[in-house]
Amino acid sequence: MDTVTNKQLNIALLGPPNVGKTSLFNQLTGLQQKVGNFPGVTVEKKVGKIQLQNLKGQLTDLPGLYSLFAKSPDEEVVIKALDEENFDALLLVLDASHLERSLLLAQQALAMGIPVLPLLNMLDQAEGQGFQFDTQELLPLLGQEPLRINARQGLGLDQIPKAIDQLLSQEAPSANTDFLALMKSNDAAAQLKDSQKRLEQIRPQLEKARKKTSTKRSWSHFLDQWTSHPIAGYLIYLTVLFGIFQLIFSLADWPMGLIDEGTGALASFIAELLPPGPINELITEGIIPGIGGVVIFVPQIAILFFALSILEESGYISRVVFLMDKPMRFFGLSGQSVLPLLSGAACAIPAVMAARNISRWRERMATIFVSPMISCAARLPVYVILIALVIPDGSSWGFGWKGLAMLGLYLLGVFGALLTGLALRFILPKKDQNPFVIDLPSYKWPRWQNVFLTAYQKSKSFVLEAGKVILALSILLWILGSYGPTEAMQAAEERAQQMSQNESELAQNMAAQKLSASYLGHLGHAIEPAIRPLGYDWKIGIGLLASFAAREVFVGTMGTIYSMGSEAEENTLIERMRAERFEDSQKAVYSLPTGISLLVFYVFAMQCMSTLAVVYKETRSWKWPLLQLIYMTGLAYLLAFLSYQLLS
Amino acid sequence: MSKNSSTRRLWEAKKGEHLTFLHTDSPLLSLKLMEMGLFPAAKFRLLKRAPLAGPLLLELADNLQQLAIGPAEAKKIWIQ
Repeated sequence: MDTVTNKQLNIALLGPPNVGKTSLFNQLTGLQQKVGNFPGVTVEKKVGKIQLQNLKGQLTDLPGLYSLFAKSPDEEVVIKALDEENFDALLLVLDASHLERSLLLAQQALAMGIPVLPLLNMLDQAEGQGFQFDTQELLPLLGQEPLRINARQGLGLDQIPKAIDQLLSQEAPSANTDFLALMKSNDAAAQLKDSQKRLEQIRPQLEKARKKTSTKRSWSHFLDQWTSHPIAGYLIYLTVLFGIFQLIFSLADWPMGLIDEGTGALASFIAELLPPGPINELITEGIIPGIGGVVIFVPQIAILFFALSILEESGYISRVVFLMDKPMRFFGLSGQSVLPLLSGAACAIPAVMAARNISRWRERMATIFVSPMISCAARLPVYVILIALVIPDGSSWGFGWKGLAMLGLYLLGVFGALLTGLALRFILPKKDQNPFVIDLPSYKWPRWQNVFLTAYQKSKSFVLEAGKVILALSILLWILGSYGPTEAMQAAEERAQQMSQNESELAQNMAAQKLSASYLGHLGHAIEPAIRPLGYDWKIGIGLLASFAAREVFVGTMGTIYSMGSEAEENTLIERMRAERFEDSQKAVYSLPTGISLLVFYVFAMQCMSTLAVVYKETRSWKWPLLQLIYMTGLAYLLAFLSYQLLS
Repeated sequence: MSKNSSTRRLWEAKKGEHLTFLHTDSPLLSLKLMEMGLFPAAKFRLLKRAPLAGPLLLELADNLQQLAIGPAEAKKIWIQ
């Protein structure tokens, strides 16, 4: 039979948040999905290939929304997509446990003039609350009887192709032009009137369609007594946080080591495979270590997003938003800032991207602005080597000084972020009045397919977003660090030859001398007067400049500067750094004041080009990344200066 | 009931007390509440307030749905 659904269709999934849209999308598309952005904005757009019986085509998962009267950037994207993407049909997912509000959205969708197939999901939850449904009674409201589905278990989905077939063989509904005009207006009073009118039609019909046979409280209500409790709620939250960080640092260690060894082995293999020369060096000393520097953080990011996805899927994150809203408001942020700031502990890029869910402009911008101050995974290698270098072994009250120093650096970043948020509260204008009203969905067991897919997609997006910038900068830094004025480079080679007694020493000294004579070395010397008050010499200056692209580059650069080569043991590098003296005063460079100053500098300095690029994309303006760069670097300089001057 | 006494009633309501939502002065807040399930004349139960005078946690009597409403927004709500 030749039916309309034998052609490639363009279908969209529409529905309120927490209605099971993602589960349905994953059920219908499997792994055949792509995550991108809607045109011109960075709101996530998931598109998948759908092939179910004779139904073929493309399925777009639109961000969840309660109404077609947009109030946030995410919601505006949905309206724009519905207006411009010429969808053949909408799969409208209705929440049986909150049917009144789902029907309001359904009425609005029908008024758009796009064929709508209503799917009644979460019946198990509604029945658990004591509701029973006569779906035929919904016919006057929806134009057809909704299909009963269970998106989590994939039940009832086989009815969709036939229903779409029937839907598209009928005449398309006509659009309500008054409603379309109202959708695009910002007239909240008129929109309210329209919604009230629709509700007056919905409520009596819903009473016929839905009967309450009993009132049952679920285990979700019992859990809430604890998770949103004024004391127990915070203790549970802190325990969950501690558990996540434990998980990240214990599980990610092994794969990170493997990636580190793997990129080293790949660089050595390619170094031997290609003939010696600039191309060989560019690939093995610039591109591979640069890409490796991004990929090495994937295990931490994947584990963090795996854990955060469980919290989101289970419904717990809404309780955290509720608990944390007031304390965060004091600091110019919101309860919705908690998730982005948590992500920032792995990497600021996903943190900045996660801030798009914050409904108010001022709090969203403040969250984007302060996210890079949370100590990310890239700072860890810098902290580790500097703490080993300047913090003595020892303990107080059973706590090791080195461990306390590490904790102190993390807390310093958090305090910096909160205090900056507090300042922004008084500086940034209130641009919108989007009210703070959030839904606390019932707790659910996470669906593992959704959790794994989220972790995979977030990690992939991190590698692609950060990878592009890091690759470009790695090439630039390699050029600046490998080339310099001809005479200076020749003199450096001669010096290295005079200093060396065997081939191994020659290779090490050659790398160090050439780096010193390179353009990057010249830059390091040029900035020395500016960084000397912070306790740094020109070699640290090179490290600071090289790590502008990504902080972790600092350790590798120090290895090269102190003639270690890539195979150096960390301990040996620490020994060499410890022995380093200022050329004029012959005092130790890495004293406690310099070490603390450098650590403080790395807590606050905006040394991550990828984050700046993502901030630009999220805010659609260079103003924000530039302000962030100036403020954070300025603050880092000031605090590092104060630390050095006070301690020395 | 005046606005002040309505606000006071909401803020002084005991945990677990049943109340009725009437309306708000702000069309935008009314619209948002309506879209999320808190309709005029809807009955709800006050579950708790977040510490430090944070958001209010309500439970709609109709379907046991829980909503958190910011403190500033809660001040604009008229109840009975």
